[in-house]
Formats: sequence, structure tokens, C-alpha cells
Amino acid sequence: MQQEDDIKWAKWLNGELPKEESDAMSQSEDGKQLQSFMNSMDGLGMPAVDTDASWEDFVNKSGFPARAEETPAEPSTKIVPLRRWAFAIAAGALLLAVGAWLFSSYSQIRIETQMAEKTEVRLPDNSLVKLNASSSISYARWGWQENRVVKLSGEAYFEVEKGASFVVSTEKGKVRVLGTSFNVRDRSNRLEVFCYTGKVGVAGGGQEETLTPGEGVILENRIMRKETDTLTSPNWTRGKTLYKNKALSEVLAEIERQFNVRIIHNNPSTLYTGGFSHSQDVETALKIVVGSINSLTYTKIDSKTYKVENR
Amino acid sequence: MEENPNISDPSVFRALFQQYLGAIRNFVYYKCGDIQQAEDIAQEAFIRLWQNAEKVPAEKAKSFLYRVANNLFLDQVKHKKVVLKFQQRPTKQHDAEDPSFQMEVQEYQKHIEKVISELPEKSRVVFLMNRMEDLTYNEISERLEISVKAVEKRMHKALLIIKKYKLPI
Repeated sequence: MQQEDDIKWAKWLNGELPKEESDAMSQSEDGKQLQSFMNSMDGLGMPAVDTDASWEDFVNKSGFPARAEETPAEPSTKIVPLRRWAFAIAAGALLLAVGAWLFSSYSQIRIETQMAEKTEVRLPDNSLVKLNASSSISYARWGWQENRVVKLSGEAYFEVEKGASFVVSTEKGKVRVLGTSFNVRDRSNRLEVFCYTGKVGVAGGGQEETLTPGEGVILENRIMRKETDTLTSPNWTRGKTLYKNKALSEVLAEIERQFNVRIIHNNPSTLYTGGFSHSQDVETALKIVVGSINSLTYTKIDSKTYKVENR
Repeated sequence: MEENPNISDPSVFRALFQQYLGAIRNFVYYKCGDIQQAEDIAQEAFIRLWQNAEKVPAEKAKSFLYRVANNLFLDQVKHKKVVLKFQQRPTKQHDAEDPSFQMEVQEYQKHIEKVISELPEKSRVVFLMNRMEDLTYNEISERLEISVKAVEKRMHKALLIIKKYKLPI
């Protein structure tokens, strides 16, 4: 590919080259040098931006009608579609429940990933589901176009084709959208939903939220809170996991899922900020994560078991 | 749930602000290496967007912000040497740190910052948008209103320069 010489390293970094060519480049001195540079950049970040302070400043300078957002008129116009959504969610869920009960297991198509496994699924309307490790989805075998409901346990990223309402149902709450992309993570006692494009409605714990791109919600112990980010798709779909102030036990649980190992630990209370790449091995992930916390160390017990403990 | 929300709608605009303020700030920072200047310019870009909210269609808002931020940067630039600094992502506990390891990490980070700071501006911006913000080549091309091929060329150029530098360890 001579004519591509002026862009080949860019293609290499993006994983777009044929395997042979890409492997040869990765094995070269230059490739190794670049790879190690990129790896060490993984630990670097930009200082957080104080959106709230900046917004206040912006409102003062620009004459933006700040009040307009807070007057009751504005939220109520948003609540109307939301309520309609809620009914549709309830109706959809009821339909699903009745349908599932009538047709029992044959009427359901179920896709499941094991530990250390990810997969991509195309739904009947060509909507895309990327399923993270140790997760499952199921949906009705018939009548997909009229009733787009996916049951999820674990974590998945969705790119939904336009059409009738699309519902992701989890034990803790429901996510309803039209055509959009978003991530749903239902692990332990938390449900996290993040919207990348379009609009996403989330209902759970007796509360409802509408998300626009860049917004997410976390539902934990029936309390819902909003958060924002600038990512355009979840990191795990690109083979890495990044965390901001996440409980270490959750990070270790994700390492267990990604590498199919068991990690023994005594629930250290530490919060972790950082990440690991799924394409490396478990030891590298542990070195990056546990190695960054000075009070902890890890030992290998056997090929499938590791122990994290105080130094 | 309209297809193209109007950005002169205050709630739409506010969402846009929350979503892109950081990205625009970073974009200017990659160019000038001055976080305060970057924040001021990012905010000014949003003020210009709000002033033009009736005229700018929603799908053009993103690239409008990048373009205005770039123009503001060019107006202000004093052509001083760019020195970029990044933050370490992992939260460290400072009680029992191994000082020699710490120094190695710091040396390493300084090296990386120096190499990146010395990249040509256009390559540096594209490289950092991809590496620091996980934006795809497609997304970068949309935001900067250049072709994907141009993004790849700038990226390739950045990588050619980076691979020439040997790491200190």
C-alpha cells in the first residue's frame, strides 16, 4: 500500500490495517517505541473543567436568560413527553411481561457473554448492541418492530435505529429511547446509563430523568444522580476501561470479568482513578491499577487467582 | 423529541455548553498550553455561539465552536513557546511513596510533555484530541471541518516525530 505511506501509522494506531501488516509494524522498533509512548500517555489526563462556575460566568457575560430554565413553564413542557414515556414504558414492560410469560423461554432470544468475552449483536431492525463481558440480553423472537424491548443484565452499549420506542429493561430501572446511542451498566447495586447521541429517558427508583448527549445518571440505592462527560462512546467498546473515583472493589470486579480470573481482596475502601487496557494481560492490568495504590500489593496464587492485600 | 433541536432554546444551549465546554477548552489548551487562556477562549466561543444562536443550525454548532475558538486563539496568540502539562490520572496516596519510583514517573511524564509540546501545532491538536479525549478520526474531521484523510496525515506526522524520540528508561 505505497500510496498510503503518508498515513500508515495513523491507520496502524487506529487498528485499520490488515493483521499481517499491523503485526509487522507493531513488532518493529518504531512500533514498540510508539506503543510504549501511547501506554504511558494512558495515565495522563486534563484538569477537570468547572462547568458550573463557567456557566454562571457565561450567563453574566452573555445575557443568557438563566431564569428561563428555572421557571415552571420550561420543565413542565419537558415533563409532558416524559409522562407519556412513562406510560409507554409501563405498557411496554407489561406487554413484555405478559408476552414472556405466555411464550415462555422459546419466545425469547437470549445472548450471553462469558467472562473475558465481548460480542456484538444486530437486532432484527439492525440496531447494534455491543455486549461487555459477563452480560446478557434477551428479546422477543416475534413482533420485534412493534415491541422493541431488550432485557439486560450486565453492561451493553446500544446504537438504536430510528423507529418505534426502544426499551432496555433492567431489574433496577428502564431506559427508553427513539433512535440514539447509549450505554447501560447494571452491576451490583448500581445502574448507570450514559447518553452519547439523541435523547434517552431513564425511569427507576420512582424517579425519571431525560438525558441529552454527554449526560448520564447513576441509580444507586434508589437515589438518582446526574453526571456529565465528553466521551463519544464508552471506553470499553474500544478495549479499555477508565474510571474516575470508582470504588476499587468495582474496578477489581471488572478486571475479573475482562480477564476471567478471580481476585481475592478484603474490600479495600480506596477510590481509584485511572484505567486499564483489555488487550493487555491481567498482570499488566493489576500492575497499573493496584500498582498505583501504594498501600496495596498483589500476589499471584495460581494462573486464575490473584490476591490483593495491604502491604 | 425533534430531529434538530434549536440551539436558541435555553435548555438545548445549556446542554450543549455542558457537553462541549471541556472539549473546546482542551482544544485551545493543546494549541497554547495556557489553561487560563484556554478557559477564557472557550467561554468566549460560547458567548459568540449564543449571540448567533438563531443563525447557527444545531448540527453546525460543534464546528462553529471549534472555528471561533481557533480564531480567538489566533487573535490573541503571542507566538510564545508552548509548554503543555498534563495531570496524572491515578489518585496517589502520598504517605508511603517510593521516592525513586516517583521520580522516574515524573521524569517520564516530563519527557512525554516535552515531546508532545514540540509537535507541530496541527499535528499536536489532532493527536491529543484522539489520545486524550478518545475522539475518532471521523469525529475530529467533523469538529475541525477537515477531511478524514487530513486528520490521518496530521496523526501520521505526529507519530513519525514521536517514534524518533527514545524514552529515557
